[in-house]
Amino acid sequence: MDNQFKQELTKIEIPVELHERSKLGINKAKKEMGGRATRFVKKRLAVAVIAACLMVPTGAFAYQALLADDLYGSFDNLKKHVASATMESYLLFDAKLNQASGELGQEQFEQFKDLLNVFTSAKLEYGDKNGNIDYSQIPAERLEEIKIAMHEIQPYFDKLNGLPSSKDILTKEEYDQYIKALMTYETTMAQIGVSSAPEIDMIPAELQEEFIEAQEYLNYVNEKQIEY
Amino acid sequence: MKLESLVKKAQKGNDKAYLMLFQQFEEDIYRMAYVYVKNKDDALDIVQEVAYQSFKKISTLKNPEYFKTWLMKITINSALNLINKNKKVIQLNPSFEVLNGKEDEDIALSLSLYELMDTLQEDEKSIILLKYYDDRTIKEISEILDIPLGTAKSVLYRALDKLRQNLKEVENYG
Repeated sequence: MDNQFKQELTKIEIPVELHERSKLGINKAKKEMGGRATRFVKKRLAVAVIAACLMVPTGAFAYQALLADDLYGSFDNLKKHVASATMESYLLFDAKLNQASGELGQEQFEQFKDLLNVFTSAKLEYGDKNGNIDYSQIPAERLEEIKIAMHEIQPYFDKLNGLPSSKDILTKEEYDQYIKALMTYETTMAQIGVSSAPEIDMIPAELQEEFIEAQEYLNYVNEKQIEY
Repeated sequence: MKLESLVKKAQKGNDKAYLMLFQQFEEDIYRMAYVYVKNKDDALDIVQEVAYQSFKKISTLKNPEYFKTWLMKITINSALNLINKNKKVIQLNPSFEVLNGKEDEDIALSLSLYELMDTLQEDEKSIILLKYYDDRTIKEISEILDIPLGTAKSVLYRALDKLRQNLKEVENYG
């Protein structure tokens, strides 16, 4: 029985593409696992990415409630727009902003404030309930303006996250791609309407590839920042 | 390279190492899958799915020694999942599915392999495959499939009975 059975099974022909399919499966898993990242790095990445994406709305909100009431009116008014801005994140980002004003120096802080202003208005105008913007829906000139502000402000966010400035450690092309990846990431989150990093299977198939690519790039930059 | 060191490398996220490791088992996995689904396309889908799932979860494997066992378990589960999924679909238009499902290369398979695949139920296939293709003991099989030893034994005897019955019928007609 033993040998006979094995012999029977060897009659099942092995298709030529078998090995290719193994590769496909492994590659897909690798993409979702985010490259070489260890659990430790991944955890830090999650923090960094969430901070980079979410800090904008909540930071803007904390900032305005605390420092610039004249921009958008009251706390409640902003909360209507950015539903995910909870008291907790309010306090957290209040602290972050205090740190910012302390660490950045008066002049830099003023610049940071101006840049943040571009975001707060963009978030109020285009952001969904989580404060995420679907950048594909924004008029071209506004998009250009936001993009430029993002280029300028990301080093500040890096600083607040306790990381070396991404603008300093990346080449110009790399930095452009990094900003683009951040925007793709946020666009995907806005399109599926989540407030934190989504699981891959929550994303519609046609968006997956772009999202994974963006995620991989953020991963790459984050690793570079940590190792720096 | 030794299996153990490949497993360790793969656990650190090394996909090249994992591919080398997985390659050693892909034919076994394919053939096992084929016995369940009886066609090339679905069997290939299962191989891809097993490669995906196993690499994703490789860090949870505590003892590299059990790598193959673990892989077989994932294979069986993937095959059963696919069958359950297909059951829902196929019933909508059975005649069409049957026509499409059998390709030329399937016909080349011997009758007895077909008999085996068509006669046995899924749980019986799992046990027969593990016992005679993977050379597992009944005790190991009961652990891999998470079933009591007694159940494993009775399913095995039931499966063997069916195969003998079939063999007789074939001989009678032959």
